[in-house]
Amino acid sequence: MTSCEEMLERMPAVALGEAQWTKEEALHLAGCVSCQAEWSLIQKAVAVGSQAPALDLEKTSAAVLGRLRAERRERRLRRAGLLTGLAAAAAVALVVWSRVPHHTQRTVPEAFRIPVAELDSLDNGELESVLQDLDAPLGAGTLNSTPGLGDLDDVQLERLLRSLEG
Amino acid sequence: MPVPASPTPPDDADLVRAYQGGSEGAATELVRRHGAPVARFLVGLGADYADIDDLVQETFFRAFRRIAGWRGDAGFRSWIFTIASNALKDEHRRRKARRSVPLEDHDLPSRDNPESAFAVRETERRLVAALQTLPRLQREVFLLRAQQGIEYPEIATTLGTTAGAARVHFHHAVKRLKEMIA
Repeated sequence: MTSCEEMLERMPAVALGEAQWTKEEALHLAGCVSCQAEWSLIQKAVAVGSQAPALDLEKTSAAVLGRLRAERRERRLRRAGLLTGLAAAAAVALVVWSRVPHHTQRTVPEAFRIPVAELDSLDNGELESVLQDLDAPLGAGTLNSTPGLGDLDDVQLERLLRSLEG
Repeated sequence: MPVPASPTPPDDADLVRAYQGGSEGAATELVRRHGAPVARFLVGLGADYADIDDLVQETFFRAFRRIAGWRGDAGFRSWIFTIASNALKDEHRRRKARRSVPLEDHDLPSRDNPESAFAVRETERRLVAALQTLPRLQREVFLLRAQQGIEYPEIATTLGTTAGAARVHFHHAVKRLKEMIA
């Protein structure tokens, strides 16, 4: 025996013309008020939109394809524009970079060059000694131990005198 | 030598593959096949007749733009219905602020047998109005099953639910609509 639930499950296919009522189902429908109401509802649902003006699907398709083509073209142009922009930016950067002086060899500006002719006559050992003295940290000693001539030993004093006399 | 014509027409998956391969004819065939059902589905969801043309166009435009998103686990038609539903939702959102109901020509009864046309239109209006009171999932399940004849497993895949849940939604929708329309 056909149940109302089974009837409802069959209704869409029958309403869409994809199936037909069996004899048993037709009998059930004829005698069941609830199924008749459901059948009427399903038929109405199938009919929804049947009064709508017919679409010109060729026109719709042409419009869709036109929009897709336009979008693709726009995307291509945008990408090309972006690449052109990047290339231009790279070219500008290259020009700017090439005009900026690059100091591959560090040269001491004239203003900072102090001629000390006395140092020219010193040999390597003597220069080393002078450099060691110059390199000593300024704050290494206390205030009372500020280096003075008295701190130099005889050899150092001799060297200094020689350098001063030329 | 000419290629002999295929005895069976290409299915949706064949057409989608052909479109992805650059065939615009395949896209046209898909629009031809599914345009009218999409339009009726949109009317069922509450779209104005005056907007149907634009909405169908928007639906197919969105579909072809992300055609790679259709993996074939649900039917092409079911997939396109979800796109149509989203397109309508977006349209409603856009119009919310400036909502007006113009009296279009198609709202008037047609000249041939105006009483009958008016009656059909009135019945449809009542059903569509009743459908709008249902939750979105219930409304879509009802339309996919009752209006389009789609089976529960496919509805479930399309709407991201289970076949059992889709069946329950359909029965609930029928019960509520019956009460409202009767």
